[in-house]
Amino acid sequence: MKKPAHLGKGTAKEKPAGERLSKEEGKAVSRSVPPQVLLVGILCGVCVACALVLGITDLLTRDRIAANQEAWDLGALVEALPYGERYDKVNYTGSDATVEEVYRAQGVGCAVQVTPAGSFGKELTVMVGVNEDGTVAGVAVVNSGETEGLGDRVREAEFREQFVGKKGLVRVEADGGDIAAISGATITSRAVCAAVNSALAVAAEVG
Amino acid sequence: MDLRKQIKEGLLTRNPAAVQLLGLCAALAVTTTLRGGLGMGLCVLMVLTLSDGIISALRLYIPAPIQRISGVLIMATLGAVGDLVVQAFFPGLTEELGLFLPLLGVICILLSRGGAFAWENPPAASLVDGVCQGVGYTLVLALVGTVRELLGRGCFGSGLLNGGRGIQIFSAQYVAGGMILPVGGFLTLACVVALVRAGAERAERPRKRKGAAKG
Amino acid sequence: MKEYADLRLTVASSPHVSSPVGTRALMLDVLIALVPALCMGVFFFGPRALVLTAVSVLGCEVFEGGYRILLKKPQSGGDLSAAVTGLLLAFVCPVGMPLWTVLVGDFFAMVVVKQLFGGLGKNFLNPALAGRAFLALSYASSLTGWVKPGTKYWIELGQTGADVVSAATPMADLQSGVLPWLGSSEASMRDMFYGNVGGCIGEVSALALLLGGAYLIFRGVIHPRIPTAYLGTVAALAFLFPQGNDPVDWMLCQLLGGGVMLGALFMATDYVTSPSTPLGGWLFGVGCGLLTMFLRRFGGGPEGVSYAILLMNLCVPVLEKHTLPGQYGRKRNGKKTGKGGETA
Repeated sequence: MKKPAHLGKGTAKEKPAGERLSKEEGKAVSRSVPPQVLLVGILCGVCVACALVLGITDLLTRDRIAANQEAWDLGALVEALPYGERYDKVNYTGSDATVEEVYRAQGVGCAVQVTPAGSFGKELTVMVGVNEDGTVAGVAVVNSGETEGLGDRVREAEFREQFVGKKGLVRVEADGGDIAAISGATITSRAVCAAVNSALAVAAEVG
Repeated sequence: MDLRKQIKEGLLTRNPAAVQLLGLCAALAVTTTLRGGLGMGLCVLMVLTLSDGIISALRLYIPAPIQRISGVLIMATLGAVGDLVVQAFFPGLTEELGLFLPLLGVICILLSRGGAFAWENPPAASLVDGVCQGVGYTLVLALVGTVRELLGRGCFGSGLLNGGRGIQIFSAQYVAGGMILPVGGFLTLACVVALVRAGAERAERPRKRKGAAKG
Repeated sequence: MKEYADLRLTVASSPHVSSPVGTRALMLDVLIALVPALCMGVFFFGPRALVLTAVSVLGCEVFEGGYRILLKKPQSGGDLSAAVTGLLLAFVCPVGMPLWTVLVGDFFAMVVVKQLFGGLGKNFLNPALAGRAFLALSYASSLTGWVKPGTKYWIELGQTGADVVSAATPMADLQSGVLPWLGSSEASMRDMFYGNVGGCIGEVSALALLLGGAYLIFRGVIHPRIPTAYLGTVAALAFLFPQGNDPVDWMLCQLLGGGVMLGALFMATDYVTSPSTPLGGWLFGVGCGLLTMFLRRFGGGPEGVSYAILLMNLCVPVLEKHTLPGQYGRKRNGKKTGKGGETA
């Protein structure tokens, strides 16, 4: 491959590139163009090329990514509120700051995604399905961020099934309620209860 | 282009994760399972090879003063492209890699030392270098991931084999949860680094003196 | 030439004193001092406590010996330091802990914490406590299965913590800010002193531990400064912040309940991981006490002793560096004193 002479070996050499460029590049560029322009020009060219590549990739993948995200969210929804055919997103304007999203399934109930305040790792996100009659349909843990073996055990089916059919305020046994907390993970168990309570309240509001 | 030398360097004597200690944040964070480690490693492999190839092809046309910047641009772009591609076609892996998927570009810049090799060598050699470094990185990540998953969850290949469930080597009640946590990551990585370096040392020793040297 | 290889030439700076005390003798004293606590543990929790302890001790010796064989190093198991670690690790586990779990803890303590760093004298963390910390991360549910004392536990291999009938412990009550005899554990002060409470095998009986500690001090194995500083700080903080209860009662509960006695007398005084300077020792003890109370009050779990001591272990190099005793003939900042002979 013939190498254009002015670029040397392609490494950062200390020779002043300015003079050589202006001499040898006479054919490609007019003599009066300073080398800085060339540098900026090439750099811009690289930037434009990169931007083009990114743009095209985004165009090609945008829909698929959105579809994947929907399918993922749907997974949690279906777990929390089974039997719904369509889940329509409801605009929640209430005062509970821990509620993230509310979905409605016509005739079945609604599902509420809550990030309760009192979790141990502060990342717990729970999806609670509430039936039309105000009882809990199901609880799904969307995101845990808790210690494996302790707080993370709220994902276990045994723990989550306790909430099904509950109405009103739910509490752990230590607080006088009837939810058996995960041993050693009272704080996280309490947070799940708080999430369920928030969801029940929202469901009542939304109707 | 000395193929043998490049392979040996990429896998052992200049292994990016174990000898050069580059890209360790991902090596610790995503290796809770084999799939995470392998997935990350292969992504890095692809992006690294591609960017090394492109940079090497362009090395004669980009003047010296803007070579580094262009290199970073190209690698960052390819990293972002890789991110989008994985998100689109491998949602499970996306979930697994989490925060570290967007860091693909950064890891490649680190591993290639800003494209140091690619700027000075022809495309064929650069592609091989990218592959070797990528494979070396992937091996370390996959090893760490396998060990952590085995000791921390008792299974092998969850998400990959057996329809996503992986092969449960032993029951989940015997697993050491600490291996999934950062402490397990550091410990396992340390052991793997020690192992690879021991291998690298042995490989560097001249053959003649191999017999006389102490084990 | 072989005779030279057998000559044990020790290089050390003066003064030189020949003493029959070696590592083995010291460790033997520690083991003897721990026997009362072991007896009380077996008395309250049944024969399984003994089995767990034996398995742990055996495990530690085997792992240490095995590691050294694998790496072709001279055997050091005879100095009984592995046995002490095994005993202490068992002591900080509940009696219902599955046997294989203890072995995992043993492995971590001996191989990772001690041998990988160079063996006896070179570890920077207390091996038993670090082993316990690893177990707490990995098998959290096993470590929180408390048994009511008096439930005689028979040997069952592979038994998991889930089979254990959980009982409340005094520490759980203290965490809620309630005196144990008013809380769900219904333990009296006397119960806590003798050991008739739920908890780990070796930590329940304050009486037995005090006896052991007194023996060690009498034999000169440990110096009272670290336990005094540790327990004193705990007592002072408990007295000053009784969380609404009677200060004296609260103070005694904090001292007698949980692992403070065990930690202060046997863990914090470990030669390798505590400061070797006198002032350093005092500071170390105070630091442990502060951290213990802090973790008990504000931490997620009811106990703070193990993490407090581990954290202070990490501070030991700094403590030692800044508490070196003055050199004879020089001031503390290194300059020579004027009249040649007086230290700062």
